[in-house]
Amino acid sequence: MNIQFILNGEDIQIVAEAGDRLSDILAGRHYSDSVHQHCGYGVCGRCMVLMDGLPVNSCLVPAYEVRNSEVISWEGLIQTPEYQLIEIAWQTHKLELCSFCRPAVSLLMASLMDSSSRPSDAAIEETLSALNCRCTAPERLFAAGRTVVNLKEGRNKPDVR
Amino acid sequence: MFASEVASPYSINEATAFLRRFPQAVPAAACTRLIIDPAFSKRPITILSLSNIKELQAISRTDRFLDIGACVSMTRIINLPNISSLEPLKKTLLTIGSASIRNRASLGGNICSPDSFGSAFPMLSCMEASVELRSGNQSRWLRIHELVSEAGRPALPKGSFLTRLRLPIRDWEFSCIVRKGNSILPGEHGTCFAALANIEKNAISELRIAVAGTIQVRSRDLEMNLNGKKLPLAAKDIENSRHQFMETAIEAGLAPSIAISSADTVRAFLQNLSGESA
Ligand SMILES: Cc1cc2nc3c(=O)[nH]c(=O)nc-3n(C[C@H](O)[C@H](O)[C@H](O)COP(=O)(O)OP(=O)(O)OC[C@H]3O[C@@H](n4cnc5c(N)ncnc54)[C@H](O)[C@@H]3O)c2cc1C
Ligand code: FES
Ligand code: FES
Repeated sequence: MNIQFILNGEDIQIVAEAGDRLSDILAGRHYSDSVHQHCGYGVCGRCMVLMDGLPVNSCLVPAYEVRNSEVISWEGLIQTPEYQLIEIAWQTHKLELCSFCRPAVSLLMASLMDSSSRPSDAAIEETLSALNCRCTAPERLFAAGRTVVNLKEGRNKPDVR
Repeated sequence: MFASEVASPYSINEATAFLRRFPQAVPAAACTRLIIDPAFSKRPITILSLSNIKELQAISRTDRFLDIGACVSMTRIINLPNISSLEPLKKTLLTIGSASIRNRASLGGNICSPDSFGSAFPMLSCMEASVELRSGNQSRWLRIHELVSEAGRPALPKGSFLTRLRLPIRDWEFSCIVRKGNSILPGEHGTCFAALANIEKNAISELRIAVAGTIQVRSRDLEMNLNGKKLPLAAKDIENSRHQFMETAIEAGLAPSIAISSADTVRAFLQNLSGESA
């Protein structure tokens, strides 16, 4: 099946089996080094991408669903001005995540910045819990998430907890 | 997932035409469940993707009902503002998967799985939702419990697909959702318990309780017995209710251990109801 989609602002045209997973396409064909097919079951969150603006587990997206969509992986995100705000939050909260978690958390934070209304504490917690990081306290991720949202809104004072 | 063929129609009519030509085709919404189903990893399937059909993404409201298209994502439902009667369903949806799964996973896909009930099913059953099914040129409305066979198993009529869910708009003072078992999908090892209640003049004016895993159990006799009872409930009434629910669940075919644990949840809910309303 021919599949056209936009990846990090670039038009992509590939031939794939309809039931192939987006994570396999992105990682297996070297479109993205940050997408990992780890559990393949929607649990770990290491295959996170933004699809049409929303974070999704790319291991749960069949190729035919990708047609005509816009996909952003971490490689695309780091080119955007929003990513600089995310970096400020990392530094403010001294977060050092592994190479699996950092891309996924960045994409989740980017989606928080993009929400149409100010995300509640519960929404920040819920969004960030889509990544299954076993070593960083959820409160620290939450604090960085809140900082990112504040920075985006122009409230310069990051919440440091 | 081994999809040998995929049709992605843009209208309900095209979808029904495809299903008439390929009756073995599997309707798919976001595929978050289908793609992890081991049954489809080797066996080729023909997919009827419903995700491009605009009508199935629509949400509309009248004074009495909220209509939700079968392919509306859980996140969209969770983010719907100012409809207090939706709170119990929102609470239920928040127990399903993760935020990134709910961004795509649909409510329709949750209740249409052929082998076990999705976690939203028992709450929708308590809310007495209706579902619109489409097959051939016909569409018909069923009460959600008509999607349960006599044996308590999921029973979506063959050759049809779900187009809309209709939820009555009414508020519930008490709602409860309890997930048991640690499997991703409710099934052999997991169940979802849902209950709704209203209180008037310190008595139960309405009560609905359902449990679903591979089998759904709703004991209307129990609900009727408790309707009108003054609160706090007597300890004897609570114990009898626990027992009645357990017997109904075992009779319905739930494994005894699951029936006992569901009956314990019924007891805890009734105790809370008594305590909270005091
Ligand atoms: C990590 C993880 C956690 C999960 N946790 C839960 C959980 O806690 N509880 C739970 O219930 N589920 C859970 N799921 C399963 C799944 O994500 C949800 O049930 C989801 O709601 C399915 O929706 P979907 O749109 O992806 O459906 P699909 O996967 O597209 O379809 C699911 C089933 O419904 C049928 N179907 C879909 N739409 C229609 C329609 N309109 N008409 C007729 N048939 C249709 C399909 O043929 C299929 O059998 C989980 C999945 C993952 C990966
Ligand atoms: S690989 Fe997708 S969630 Fe783990
Ligand atoms: S930082 Fe990657 S597992 Fe915790």
